[in-house]
Amino acid sequence: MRISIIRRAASLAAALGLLAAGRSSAAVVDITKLSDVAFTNLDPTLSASSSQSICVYSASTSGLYTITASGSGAGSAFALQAGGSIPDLPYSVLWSPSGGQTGGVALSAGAPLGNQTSGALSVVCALGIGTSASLTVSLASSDLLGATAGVTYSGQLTLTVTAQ
Amino acid sequence: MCNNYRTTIRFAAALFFAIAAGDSVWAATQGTAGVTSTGSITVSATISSRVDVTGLSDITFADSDLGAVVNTSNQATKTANVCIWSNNSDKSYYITASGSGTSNAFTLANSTNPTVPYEVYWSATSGQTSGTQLTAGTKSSKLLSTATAPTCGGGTTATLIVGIQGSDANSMLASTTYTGTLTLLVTPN
Repeated sequence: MRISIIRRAASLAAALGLLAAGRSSAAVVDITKLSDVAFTNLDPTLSASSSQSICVYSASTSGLYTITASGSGAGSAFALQAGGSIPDLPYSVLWSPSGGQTGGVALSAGAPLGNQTSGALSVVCALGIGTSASLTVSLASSDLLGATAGVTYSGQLTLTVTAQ
Repeated sequence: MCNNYRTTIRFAAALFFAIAAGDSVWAATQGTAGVTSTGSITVSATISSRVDVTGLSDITFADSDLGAVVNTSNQATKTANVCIWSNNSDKSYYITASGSGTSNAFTLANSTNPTVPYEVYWSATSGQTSGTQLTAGTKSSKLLSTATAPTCGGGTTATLIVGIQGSDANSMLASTTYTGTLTLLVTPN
């Protein structure tokens, strides 16, 4: 009877997707709760930034992980494209291993940033803290002043998490 | 089979409308749990139109400038190279000049003497000695700049020309200073 109850609880947790591999098992990682970033009608005389709290889960020892970001510019550069002959608009990416932050360590495109620690207890941060990292995308006024009005710049930012 | 076609058509239609609406076909994708996990987001930006006029200097007509046109049909002119920057895709801008006279008239004033009119001309190229005459308070037609950054990197892109007709110089009193303010409003649209 007691065994049955434990099994049912485990099944329920698995069904809810709350339990991932424990930190003593395979080094599973997960990055979720990402949202698109849209800067609209920016004043080019002012720099702009957008921060979002996301979930990074790592089942490795102490929750350590490595984050690598790549943009859609040439050579995976952090750059937005508007098409045609319009030059790319560069941006910067900041990373913090805590939720609710508006700054962090500047990432270099394609360069892993290691020794990040996740406080997430489960994938998608379903248990405990709701978010475990912050992603900030910034556009510098010096770059915006060279950008073109009336067009839409767009690019893709890819984030890869690896257990450490 | 029929359902597969319908699904394909629906996807194609959604893709078409997304592109037609100017939306990115990218959207945030969440990672999945594994040895590595990769997610992605779309970053987009639009920028408001902005313009800038810089490099302006005061203009002074010396006695030698005006004396040369008194009692002639000629005009004394002074030119100034200035910088106009616009971040419109075609670098377009409009200019509206206003004087400090009555109803924004281009006039120079002295506390006791009649005002002296002057004329304002504009060229969208620097280093010019002539240009299109501007009407006080009236927006110009579309002009194009070549500047790629505010302040033009220290360079210039346009010429401001101010002129005083010899017939108007006739009425100016000697040893008297006439002054006025010329305001240049640059707009992106």
